[in-house]
Amino acid sequence: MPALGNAIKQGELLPSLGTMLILIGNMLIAMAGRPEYSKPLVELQSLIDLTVANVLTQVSTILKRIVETKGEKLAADLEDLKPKYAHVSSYMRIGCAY
Amino acid sequence: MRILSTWTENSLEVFTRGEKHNPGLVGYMVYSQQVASILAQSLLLTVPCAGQEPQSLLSTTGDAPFDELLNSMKGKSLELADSLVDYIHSSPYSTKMNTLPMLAYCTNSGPRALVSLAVVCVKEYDKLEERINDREICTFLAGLMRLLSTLLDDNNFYIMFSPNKQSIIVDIVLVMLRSSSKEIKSMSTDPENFVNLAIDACEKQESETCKTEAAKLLEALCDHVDGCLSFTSIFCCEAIKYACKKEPVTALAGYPLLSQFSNRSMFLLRSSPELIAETSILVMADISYLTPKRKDIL
Repeated sequence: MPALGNAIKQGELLPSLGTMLILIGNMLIAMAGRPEYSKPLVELQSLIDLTVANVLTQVSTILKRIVETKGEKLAADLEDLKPKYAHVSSYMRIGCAY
Repeated sequence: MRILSTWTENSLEVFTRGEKHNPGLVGYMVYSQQVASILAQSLLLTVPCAGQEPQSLLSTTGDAPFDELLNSMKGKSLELADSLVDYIHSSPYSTKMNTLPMLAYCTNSGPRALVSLAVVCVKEYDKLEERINDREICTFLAGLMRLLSTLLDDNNFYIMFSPNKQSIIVDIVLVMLRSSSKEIKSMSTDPENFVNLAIDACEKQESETCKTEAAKLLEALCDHVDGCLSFTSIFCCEAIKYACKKEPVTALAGYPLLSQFSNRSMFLLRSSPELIAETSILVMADISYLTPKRKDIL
């Protein structure tokens, strides 16, 4: 497990995604009580949900692979995942732009 | 994990605010396949390793920071799921429950919650007290019991509880309601706090402790599942008689109901007579609101 923690830290993509999520999440919370913004908020929330669902799928994949390979191919797995996270990040950028 | 944790915290806050002022946003969450899927997947997330009990949802890899983070995230995801299901039950959406994505969440998570609690209370009994004293684990276990209490309000899930009602009461509820050694110690050092804990479990039910959630689960079982009230009352009356006589556990033959659980109930096998009596009286106090309606129990 410490190896997993270090590997994720070295990936450098998850922390930035987390920061974006916090920023957009805070904006959503602030505006959730305003019914006039209902439509864009729903779109933004669904983008966040899609992003998190992707992250969750990747986390499940990583955990499954750790068990299958006993951690040996972890670094390579995370490298493979980078483009996918980049794809996920683009959803968040769309959300920010919105 | 932190991303998931942040998502559950934010979504709960958005839901709470939206519930009052933004029905469109709440409607999206109720109908969202993504939300139900994230909640279901995050609850089932475990790392299969030597320390992890395969059937348990509680993360016990042995890596303390990781376990704490995962169990904390699961506790928050349970809170969000419970809020959503509770909202559905108390709103016009309740008539559409069979078509909502949260039904699949409840159908999958309910049985896993029951099995997890059974593992924690029976199979891993020796670690139970230490776990209840851990804030994150306690929140998670309380969340599992709260989810079960919420599901009991829905007839769709009756079949999940009815065949297992006796085991749920004896193996989970009674063990969770029993006072811990820390609470017993406080009986002499801080008796007011000890009494307040019992009052909160039976009456106020404001704290989100395992004890209070176990009391709520018992009430929900007795309210909705046939036979639970009779079983609980007779079991506790026999347990009080047995505890007062201070007989060894091998002498349970004279107690028809207790004897059925004599070789597998941690509550009977691993509790002192005083604790058995104290817990049984607490249970009788908790369900006392129902007994005046039932002359056969009186």
